[in-house]
Amino acid sequence: MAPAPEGIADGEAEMNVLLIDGDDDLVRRLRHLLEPQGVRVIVAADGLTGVEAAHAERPDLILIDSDLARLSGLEAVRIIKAVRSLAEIPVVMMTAAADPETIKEAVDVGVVDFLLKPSLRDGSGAERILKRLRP
Amino acid sequence: MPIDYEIDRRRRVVRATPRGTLTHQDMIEYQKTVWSRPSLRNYDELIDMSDVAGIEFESPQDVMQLAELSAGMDDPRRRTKLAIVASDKLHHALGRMYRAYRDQSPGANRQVEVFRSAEEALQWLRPPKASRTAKRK
Repeated sequence: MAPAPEGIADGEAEMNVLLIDGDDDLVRRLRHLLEPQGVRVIVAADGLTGVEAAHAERPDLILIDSDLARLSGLEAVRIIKAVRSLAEIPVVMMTAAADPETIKEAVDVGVVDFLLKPSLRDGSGAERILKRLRP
Repeated sequence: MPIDYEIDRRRRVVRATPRGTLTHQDMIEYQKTVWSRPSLRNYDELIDMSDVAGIEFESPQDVMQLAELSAGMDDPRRRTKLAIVASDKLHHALGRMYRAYRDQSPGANRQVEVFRSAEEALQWLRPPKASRTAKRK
């Protein structure tokens, strides 16, 4: 059996996060913050491949940008939540700015938390992601 | 099959009206029944989802399979149009997903747009006034 990645206690299962975002810099940054904590980061660059990856990987948590190509973040979440086998996966939405209308609609669809993108770049948002994974 | 359809030969449009709960099989059956008729191949299509109560949707592969099947039945000689009317936000998102898969499917030769209202869809399906005027001259 392979040794547990750094940051994972013996017997603790590796957690999978599906990161749906087309911003390569942010993806790199989040990988840098989460992977040393034993979190496997699966990446999809747009809403359509994000829905496919959610179905194929059944991650423990989905982090999704609100502004995506092919399907918007909200559209992708609506579709994911409509699939019975995926509906229980917690979804956290990342936004560039806190737009009240987007937040209200996202909460109605089933998004459990919001992260402002600047908080992900400085690292404070990663703490909240880890708390969601290991409350 | 909970998908009624009528053929408007004058406007060369097939108007489909699904009702109740729609399954993947219903959509596959509709596609095969209607679009395997050679006389309709170069017709446009309007699918009005207004009376759909729910869609039984299990995976993105369902949408991809339908998109690939329908793209494979497109008329290669004439680029046609498909307008999907979906005011419900989930149905609208699924319509856009279908469009994305269809656009990338081999053989696709039908322009797909998803609308919130039938009025917008009909306006889009109508040929532009300038070309109609030009034809009358």
